[in-house]
Amino acid sequence: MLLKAYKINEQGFYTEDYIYEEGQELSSDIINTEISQGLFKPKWDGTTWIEGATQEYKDSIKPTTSAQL
Amino acid sequence: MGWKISDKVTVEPQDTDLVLLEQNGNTRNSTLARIKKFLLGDEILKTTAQTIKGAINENTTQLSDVAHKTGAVQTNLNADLLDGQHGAYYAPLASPNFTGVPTISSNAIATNVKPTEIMVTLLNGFTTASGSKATYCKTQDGIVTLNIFLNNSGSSAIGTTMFTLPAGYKFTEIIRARGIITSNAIYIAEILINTDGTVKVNTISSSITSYTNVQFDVSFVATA
Repeated sequence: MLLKAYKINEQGFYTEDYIYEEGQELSSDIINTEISQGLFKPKWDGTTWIEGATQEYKDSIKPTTSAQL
Repeated sequence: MGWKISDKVTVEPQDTDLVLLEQNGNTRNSTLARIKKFLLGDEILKTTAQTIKGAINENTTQLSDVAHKTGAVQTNLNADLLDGQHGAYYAPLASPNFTGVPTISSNAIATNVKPTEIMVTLLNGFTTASGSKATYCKTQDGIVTLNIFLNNSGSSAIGTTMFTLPAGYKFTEIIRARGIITSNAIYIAEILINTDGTVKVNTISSSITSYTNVQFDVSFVATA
């Protein structure tokens, strides 16, 4: 059975999902605590997932310009 | 009074020759053929020889034929093992019930096991639209399918990463798929799946700069 966990970088930021087989040992950079929806940049603080995005980052991805095909 | 045997045998005995038997005080006639049948038997391995040595040689030849003669079909032969395996080891030609991981040449055969649907991990404020799903899955033969319907509640700009595909679910070239964007109306969007697995709305068929929902389905063969 396939399960999903989360891969983090050295700063604890989520980078991508990690798919593994049940019973497989996980390395220290793989977290199997679920990430709640709504976070911009999930960050693992060693116990739980927290919002790792700054307000400056959130402002930077808000719509400012148009795009067209 | 006993019997007097006058002469020694001077010619080869024949099956029809009489043989005398002493049986319960009576002297009875039999034939050489009956005596031979009694001694050697004639039901399975028959012999036509008229001497014991000849009969043994004849039967030995017949046994050798049974065991070794090339192309000799032996009906009713009941072998317990073939190459050290019982019959249940071998699959029947009709409707074989394979177990384990059957293979043909070097290609694994896909089974009817459904792929596991995995919820995408949403970033930058994106959430799953109510009553919908945002999942990816991969079949045994490596076909990845995305089924996505998201809210852009954070009003993230076009080009913002919605989620990232994991290793084994990526493609070595950029994939451009069609999607639908909802704002104050419905628009067509280009969905970009990058080689690093990041997935984002790339462009929209309108001059709008924000949207509230995005939905798309796409399948491709995973290569990375």
